[in-house]
Amino acid sequence: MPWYLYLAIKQLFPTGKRVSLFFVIAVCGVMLGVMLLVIVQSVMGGFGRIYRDKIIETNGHIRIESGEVMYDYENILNFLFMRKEVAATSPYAHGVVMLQHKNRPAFPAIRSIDINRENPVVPIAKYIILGGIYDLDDDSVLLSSSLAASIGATLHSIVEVYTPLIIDKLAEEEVLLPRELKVVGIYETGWEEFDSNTMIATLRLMQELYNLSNGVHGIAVRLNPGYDEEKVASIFREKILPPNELMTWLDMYAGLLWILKLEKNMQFFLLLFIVIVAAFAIANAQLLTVIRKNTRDRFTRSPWWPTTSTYRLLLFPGFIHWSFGNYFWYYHRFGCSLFS
Amino acid sequence: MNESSPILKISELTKSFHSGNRSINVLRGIDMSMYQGDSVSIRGDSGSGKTTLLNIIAGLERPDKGNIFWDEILLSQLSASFQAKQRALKIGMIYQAFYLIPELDALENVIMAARILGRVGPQAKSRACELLERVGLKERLKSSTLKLSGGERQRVAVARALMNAPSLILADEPTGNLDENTGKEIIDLLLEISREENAGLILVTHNRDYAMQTQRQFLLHYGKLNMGFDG
Repeated sequence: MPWYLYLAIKQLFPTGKRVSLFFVIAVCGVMLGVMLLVIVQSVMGGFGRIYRDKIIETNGHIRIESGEVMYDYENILNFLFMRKEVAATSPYAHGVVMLQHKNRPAFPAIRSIDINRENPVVPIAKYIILGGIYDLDDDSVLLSSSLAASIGATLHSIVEVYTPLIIDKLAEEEVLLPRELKVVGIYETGWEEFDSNTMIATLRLMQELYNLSNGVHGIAVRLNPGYDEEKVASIFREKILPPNELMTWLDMYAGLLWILKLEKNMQFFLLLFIVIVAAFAIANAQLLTVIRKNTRDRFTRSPWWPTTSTYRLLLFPGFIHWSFGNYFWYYHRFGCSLFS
Repeated sequence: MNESSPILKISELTKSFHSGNRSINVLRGIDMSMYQGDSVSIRGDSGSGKTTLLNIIAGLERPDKGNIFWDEILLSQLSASFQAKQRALKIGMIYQAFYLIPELDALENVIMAARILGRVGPQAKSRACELLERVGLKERLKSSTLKLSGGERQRVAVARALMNAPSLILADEPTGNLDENTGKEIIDLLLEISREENAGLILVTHNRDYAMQTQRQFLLHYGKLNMGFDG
């Protein structure tokens, strides 16, 4: 062992003593710094994971839309059905309607589900907090919790739905009455964007409300675990040609994900700088201690070795603190995971 | 190097310190030679430059002018790292304040001098034990240096200075922190052991009696090294 490492270790673990208090404080400092960084990164990573899961559960991994009503979507469904990457598909229609309950209006986004196929793509059944998805038919709807609260609707309430089709019919001097629908379920996904102002109807009802005939607005695709949505989408783009467009959930929520990433990076850098400042404080205390010791023990200052060796002696305790701090942090972390 | 060549040769050594516009000439043309087994004492007033002279001899400070030869090797021609290695091999230093490493016990302190040269092992340990036994610390090998008396600490420092069998020992007021009896014991030990090891000794001291025990005596006065007690 080189003498400077030997001496550095001896200064941290003196002969006849166990551990110096300074060593414990410095190691704890490094450990806390590293722990703080890892915890913040984990928490931010956890947020990202939660958002990801919510987005995928309410939208699927990939959406295929053409910008207009799709009538020949069965071919696409057949193609998707053959692919090993695909776990489930569901054609959908969506739009905005005016909803009224006891003279309290709202303008929610309406989405359709095909109850025969939808469950694997959007597992809405597990988010129903009142009622049930199996009561959903062509004369009923599901409301998000916030929407139901805002118009005072509850289970079995009758709501009136006004669609853009009413305006179209007025232009043709026809009067189309609002559709009365029964609320058969209220859901809450925990995904604010979805819970705040949405309602769900059957695909047949949506086709009727929007006069889509047998058409749909798009197809939601859920992938089997382990497949990368970006890679799968690029493969599918070679087969599903324009005007059909494939969008992954990453494309749809690029803005939100960018903010999340930015926030994560910002927190990382802020904490990193705090840790660096703390590391300087520890290093400063450490250098003062080592210099004081080595000035006191002039033996270590000069006669026997060149100045560069003294620098090594100054640096090695820091390296040892750093190593122990990291080691104890990982040991502690693994310990925690064993007990949890 | 043959038997008659000096282990240390200093020629025309000058050193001055500057403070603002003032210049203090501490050493003004020092010449000195030492041979194996020589013992020399240097006396002088406080601040007369004794420690500066020792530091320059050890290569810890640079002179303004003049040359220093260790075993006929010109010091100024050596790189810092080679100089440090040569110093560790050829010179043993003893200070008034001992400068032992408190984290190490007596034996480890002595071995440390050899460890720096990469000499670790049974031979180094045996040599250190021998030296500590020689200075009367056979029973205190594993004692913390913090638990040793002043005289015992200086004995450890003497053993450490001799660990690498240096050709020259520089002792800078080694009795300064010791009482008279202990100081006398240390000087006797130092002279005896340097004779045994056939090493040159430069003893810086204020004490006339101790100085008398060396073969040659010098007085450092106004930057000049004068032979004898009164210059």
